[in-house]
Amino acid sequence: MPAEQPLTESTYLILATLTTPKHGYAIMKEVEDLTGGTVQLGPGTLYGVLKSMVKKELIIEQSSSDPRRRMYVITDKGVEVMKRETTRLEMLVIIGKKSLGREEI
Amino acid sequence: MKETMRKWKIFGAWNLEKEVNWLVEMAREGWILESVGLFNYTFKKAEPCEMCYQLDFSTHKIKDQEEYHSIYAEAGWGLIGKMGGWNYFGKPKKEGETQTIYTDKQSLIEMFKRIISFLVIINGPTVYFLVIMHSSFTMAMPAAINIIILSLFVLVEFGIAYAIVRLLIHIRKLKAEALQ
Repeated sequence: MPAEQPLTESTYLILATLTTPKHGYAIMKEVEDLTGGTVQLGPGTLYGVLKSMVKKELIIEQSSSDPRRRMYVITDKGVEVMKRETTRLEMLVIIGKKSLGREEI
Repeated sequence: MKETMRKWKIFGAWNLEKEVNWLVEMAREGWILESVGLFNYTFKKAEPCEMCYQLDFSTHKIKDQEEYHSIYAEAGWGLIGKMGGWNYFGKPKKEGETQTIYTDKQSLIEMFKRIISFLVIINGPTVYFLVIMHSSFTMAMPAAINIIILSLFVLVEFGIAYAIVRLLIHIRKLKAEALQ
């Protein structure tokens, strides 16, 4: 997959929670809290995204973690990808706000 | 004595939603899925209730199993059983809780891609076996048996090819829905 591919909403949010190490369930809870309950990640999506991000080296598993509750944390590459994606999203939001009629938003 | 019922059933992965809905209907009629065997389900008689069922196709490694199951368990999904690469999960339906284990189209598409990879991988040994059987038995076996073996493999190959095509069509449909 090319690096320029936009991240899915789930991927972006999971990545955003991993600036501090967390295990699966803690990620789910934090995403729910951060989005005021509007985004609830299913375990299938969460597990799939975690494994795929480990493969792409956007996050790593912490070596000392309990096998039932493995802890993950963002890598330098992950931070780079998140920065790029944030810039892209910011641009979209600016365009969207302008298009919707500026001041009131 | 608790009343149980066993049902034999096969389903195509592209009809996953139908299979899940059928399990939900069974629970509404008071038959709760208790265990899963090879092409069969065992149900236990209970009060009719609203259940959520979900199937995940996973080819995770044994060492990842604990984490896999604990993520599902912490999200409220109990593992009912396994069949092939399928993991059957269930939980009582609660308002305000997600009723699916895949909450975005992309990760659901990834699951269907895993099924295709699995089919392609098991197809390798099937073809290999066919070639070996064919070359070593052509001389020794009566022609009739040879034809039976060959037809059997053609059938298996046809089945795998059919499943892959149906899955690819299903993935296309999901991708189109994701773009809406």
